[in-house]
Amino acid sequence: MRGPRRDPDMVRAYVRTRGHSSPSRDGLTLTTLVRAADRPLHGLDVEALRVMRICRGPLSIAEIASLLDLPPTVALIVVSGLLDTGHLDSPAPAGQPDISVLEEVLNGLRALAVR
Amino acid sequence: MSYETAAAAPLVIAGVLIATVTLTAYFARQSAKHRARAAQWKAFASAQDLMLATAVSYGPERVAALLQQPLSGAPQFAVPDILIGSGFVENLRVLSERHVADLHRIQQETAVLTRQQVEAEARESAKTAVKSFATAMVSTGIDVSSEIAQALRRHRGGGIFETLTRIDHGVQQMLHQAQSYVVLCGGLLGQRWPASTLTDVVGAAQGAIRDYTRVQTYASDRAVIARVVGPVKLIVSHLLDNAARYSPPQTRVEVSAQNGHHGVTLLIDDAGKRMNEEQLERTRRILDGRQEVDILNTEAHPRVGFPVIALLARRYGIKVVLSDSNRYGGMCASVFLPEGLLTSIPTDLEPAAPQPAVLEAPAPPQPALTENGLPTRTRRRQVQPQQAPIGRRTSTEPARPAVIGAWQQSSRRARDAAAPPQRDAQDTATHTEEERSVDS
Repeated sequence: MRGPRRDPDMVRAYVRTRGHSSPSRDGLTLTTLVRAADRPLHGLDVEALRVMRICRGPLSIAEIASLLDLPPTVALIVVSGLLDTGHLDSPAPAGQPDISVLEEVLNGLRALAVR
Repeated sequence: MSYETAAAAPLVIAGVLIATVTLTAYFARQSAKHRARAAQWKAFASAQDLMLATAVSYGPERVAALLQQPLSGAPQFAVPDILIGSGFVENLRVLSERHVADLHRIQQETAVLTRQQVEAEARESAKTAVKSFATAMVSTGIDVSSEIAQALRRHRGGGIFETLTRIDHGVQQMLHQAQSYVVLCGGLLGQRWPASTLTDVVGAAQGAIRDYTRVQTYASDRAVIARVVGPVKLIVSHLLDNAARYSPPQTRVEVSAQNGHHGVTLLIDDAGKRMNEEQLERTRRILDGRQEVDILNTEAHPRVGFPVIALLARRYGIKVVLSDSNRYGGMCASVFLPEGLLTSIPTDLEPAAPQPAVLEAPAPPQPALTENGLPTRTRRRQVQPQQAPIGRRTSTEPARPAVIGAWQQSSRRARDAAAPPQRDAQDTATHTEEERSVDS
């Protein structure tokens, strides 16, 4: 009954973006982090709902694309629309990372290099 | 005595003579009468011969033509005076008429049979030609679609995306048309899909029509079995196309569903023109199979749609019904999918939540949870020993956990900076707890 995996391209990209061919806002990249804002979901289309369903914690757009098996540009366009409607927001980068974090990363990388 | 005898003899002779003459005259007259009658019969017979010869030499076409004229019109045959009013002419007329009627009948029957035969042959060869052409188009269309889908994943950039999706939209419409003709010619769709949710099937159908942006779909977790994904997609796309084509461009075409006891009914509503009684009746005749459909008696696009729907619906046990009034004053098409065509798809195919926890997979083997199921704070301590040899490269001990631990923490902090503490989703609550514990 289970058969092969679902076909991610059965619904075509232009249907998923509702005909939009580029993100409505500039400056979004695949590494941009977004998180769900506290807004009711009714009135959203199928694709937006799929994104909202997985966006419980902050996720990068690349992760969204990968989790939903979407072409990257489609994820950018759908997320951009959700940022416009306020269903998602994109936290500003937290400024300089804590120095201790950087130290830990450096430490980890060195340990990796040694191995 | 002899005188008396002598006197009587001439009298007797005269009597005999008179009698003889009289008889002779009588017989002569009789004979003349017979000769005249014989001559008349002869003339009659030769006139009959002449008429028959004329009739034969005229041939069936002339005879038919002459007999089609009203009797009161021009003389149909040169009838000799001697035959006028005779039974012979009447019989000849009746005979010719029957002969011509027979000829007509045979001619018509032959014409009908020939036409049927020619039509059947033409239909068969038209079907074969259209089918092989359409099948080739479908095959190319599927290849191009798959190329485009891969390209959309490979390349990024607004311009490329726009160009590729425009081409794709064209290709999908072409594929839709080609598949419709394949179905009309009795062929199979040639495209196989795995079992898919109704949402995906409707989304796929949406992509095949021109005004796809006007379609408002719905989310459903019901799925159709692999065998009918293609047919349902084609049926729905024809109904969507019909709805969008005959409704004002600013209105939406709505797709909804009713989960019933015996199956699911998809409803496609538009706010457009309603069909008139005659159109509706004709369409219903096609849909419920009262009217045979084939490639030669369909009209131009978009009339191909209903015959295709009817053929597919009958083949797969789907029921399509049109009603001529809905809440928007437009048409409503319903597609009933019986339970036997439905299935459920394992939901693990679509992850329900992001999993930052994946990074924790290679966590150290110590008991990481408290009795409450909350992570203990010991993790930080596992990382800390590794902080001692900062600046030295001799730290060779458990390098991998250290790297992962550091990576994990930095990743978490970044996420924590991004994550609002008041998130309400239930399954992120534990993550929040975890993150806080790490931070403290």
